[in-house]
Amino acid sequence: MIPSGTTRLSLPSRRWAGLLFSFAWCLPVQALPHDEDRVKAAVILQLARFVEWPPVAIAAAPTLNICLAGKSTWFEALAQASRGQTVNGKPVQVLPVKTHVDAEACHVLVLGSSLKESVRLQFEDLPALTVSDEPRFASQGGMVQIIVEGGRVGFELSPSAARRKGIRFSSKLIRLAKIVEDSD
Amino acid sequence: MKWPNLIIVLCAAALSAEQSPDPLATLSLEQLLALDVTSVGKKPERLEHAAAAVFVITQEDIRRSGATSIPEALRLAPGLQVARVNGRSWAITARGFNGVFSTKLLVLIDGRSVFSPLYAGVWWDQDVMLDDIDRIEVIRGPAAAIWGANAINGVINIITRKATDTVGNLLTVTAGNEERNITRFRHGATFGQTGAYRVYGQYSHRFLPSPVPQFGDTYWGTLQGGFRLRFEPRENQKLLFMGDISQGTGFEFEHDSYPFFLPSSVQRLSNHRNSGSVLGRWEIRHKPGSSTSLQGYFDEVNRESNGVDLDVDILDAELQHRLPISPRHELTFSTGYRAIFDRTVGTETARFLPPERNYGIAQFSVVDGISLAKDRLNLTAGARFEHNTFSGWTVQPTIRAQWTIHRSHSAWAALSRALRAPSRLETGFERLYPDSGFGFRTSPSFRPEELIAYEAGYRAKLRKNLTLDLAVFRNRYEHLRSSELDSVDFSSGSPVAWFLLDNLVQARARGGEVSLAWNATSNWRLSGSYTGLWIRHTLHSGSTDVLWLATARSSPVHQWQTQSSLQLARSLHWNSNLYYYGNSRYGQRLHFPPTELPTRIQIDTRLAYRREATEWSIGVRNLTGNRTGFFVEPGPAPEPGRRAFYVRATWWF
Repeated sequence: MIPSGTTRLSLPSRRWAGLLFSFAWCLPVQALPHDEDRVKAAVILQLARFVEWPPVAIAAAPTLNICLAGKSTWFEALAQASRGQTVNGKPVQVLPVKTHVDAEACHVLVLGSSLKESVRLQFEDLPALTVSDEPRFASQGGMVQIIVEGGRVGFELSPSAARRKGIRFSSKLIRLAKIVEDSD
Repeated sequence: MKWPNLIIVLCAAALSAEQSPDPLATLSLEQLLALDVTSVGKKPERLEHAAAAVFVITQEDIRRSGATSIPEALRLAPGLQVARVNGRSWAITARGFNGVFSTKLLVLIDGRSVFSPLYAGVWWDQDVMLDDIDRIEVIRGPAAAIWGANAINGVINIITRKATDTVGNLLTVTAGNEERNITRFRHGATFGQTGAYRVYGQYSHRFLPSPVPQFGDTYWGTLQGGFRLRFEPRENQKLLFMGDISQGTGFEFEHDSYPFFLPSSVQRLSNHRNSGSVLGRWEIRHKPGSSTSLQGYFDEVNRESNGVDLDVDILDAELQHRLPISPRHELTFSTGYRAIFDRTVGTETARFLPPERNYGIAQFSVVDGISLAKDRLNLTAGARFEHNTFSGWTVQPTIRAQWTIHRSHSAWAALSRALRAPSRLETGFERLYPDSGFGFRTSPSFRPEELIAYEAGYRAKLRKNLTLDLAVFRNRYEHLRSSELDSVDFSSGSPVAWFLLDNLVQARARGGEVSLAWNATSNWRLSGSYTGLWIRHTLHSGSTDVLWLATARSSPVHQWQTQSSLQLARSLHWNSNLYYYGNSRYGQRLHFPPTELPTRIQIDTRLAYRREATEWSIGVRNLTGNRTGFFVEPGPAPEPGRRAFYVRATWWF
């Protein structure tokens, strides 16, 4: 199904709205992730454009590596959405990772649930932008927490957690985000 | 073009759009954030924005503080009064009336009440696997409309981590001069697409100073194990099972006298505790915002102490349903029943009457939440209707409002009525102190203690890195527990004055808590809080109560605390906490009971080194080694003090 946001933008006429509902018939043809998951994925890709990594981590890298660790419903949507995308001139590459050894080249580290705790702790030492939609992620040492509030996707940022790894958020991100200072 | 054809063409267009890059990818960040999404998750309730005085202690806070038990961790919350009595007993409350059995604070572990129906209070000698705690939610003030009777001065919700967050193994070993050895182990794993479980075991061996110094240390040792299991049988359903079993044994010393200011002999008590519980919960999400959950648990505790044997079994079932009426209006219903079976074996001087009893609590509650003025004004009204064997039907209503003044300023206010249900002890118990010629009896006509509370609060983000949380309250208590001289009995040779528990004390309490959190730099966080509490007791005419003297002095008037958390280097972390407990006003004015209650300062400090998945830490608790304290009902219990050292190693693997 076409996401409601796009339909709203492209079709101002109310007359067409009824017709668009008929798109629901297309659903059984291909099972798609939930709208929420796709919006979260798109937000991550946009957000990465306003993040400044330490030069040593990013300058020599041919691609921008988004790594997925653990399990989450929106990982599939993120992998789909990243296809053919570029961020700051670098093609986006999505990689599943299991341990911190695999994750050394990651720029964005998206953490799901069911992740081994020892691995999660080792990830914390890497100079990557950590992202998750797990509750209280940003207030407990994570950098970006994707939230859903009032039926809209948003994000919380912890600039202090990012600063410790030499990562900076642009003023635009800070303006759009809820700022959380972690308990460090 | 006919309609079916048009649909096919449009479908094809829609699907081909799926193959090419996602159309969402062409939207800007602002546009994405403005999209309405269909959420499958439960409406996340941010406790920090609630219309109540709430504080959350996180797993990280607990680990950094070096706490080795739940009561130690609770010191981190502003507005809680925490006093250690001996190796296994603690006096913990919010907003006054502290005691070994603080009757006015409800405590739940993963949705299971650990408030004893026998004594009205919490035995803090039960352990929880500290590393597996997700957070401790501390609500100050009444929350009886949601949590039921006994949530009168506050609620403590201990919530353990989801099994999906504790995958892998953990081993932590602590050794020290007081806590000789605490060893905890946990193993967690996932199964299938959505399932996860963990099992844990822990052992502790504590020697803590006694409130009676000449008798040396008290001892408490426990062995405990348990499991958590969760999986999603369907996409919209969650099943949760958990169980814990534990055994504790130890000894302590007790004043064998009453009232507490009389000269007393001290007796050695040897204590044993065996307990177990199992809990199951089934959560179903129907559509966004609408959900049903069904929970049931069985809990058994057996305690034995110098010939007094107490056995309490609890069976509890609760059904909860959230029903959104519109996106801005939500109803929550809950109904449940708790059956309690107790069997007691007493002695000639301390016994329950009758020795065995079955009783129950039936409840129904409804809470209506509504958002007005573009979500800036949130109103909540609710009431809990509860029936218990001792006091019949009761109603505990609340009305709350939360107003977002500005993006970073919000205010709230609440008016509530809450009750503290009579316990088994207050309705059928007899205790004789033959040496001092005193005895206590109870009568079945004991009434619930009642609170009417007026609360207000303000939260603000003063600067980017500075937050303020303020709460003030005025509490009116009626029908508080009192002891009335009933008769003097000469039949056994020496005279015995019998007192009867009654409800002839009233009290007015006012006070507030203010806390500040400041992220001075990205590596240094400072936080602090102040709690002020003033309580005035009034006795009904004809009352001969003296119990109020103990409660009046049980909580400090002024209480300060500061916490500093400093990242010294990438792997090195230094944490220091300072607590100040000021003198009681009554203590100064009355000079009675004649025991000094000096001001108390406690400093805890801890240095931790963590490299990848191993952490080493070393800490000192009560750096100054002060031996001072509080009065806690019913006896003189200066908080034992001694400098405590510990080292700890934690491995995740």
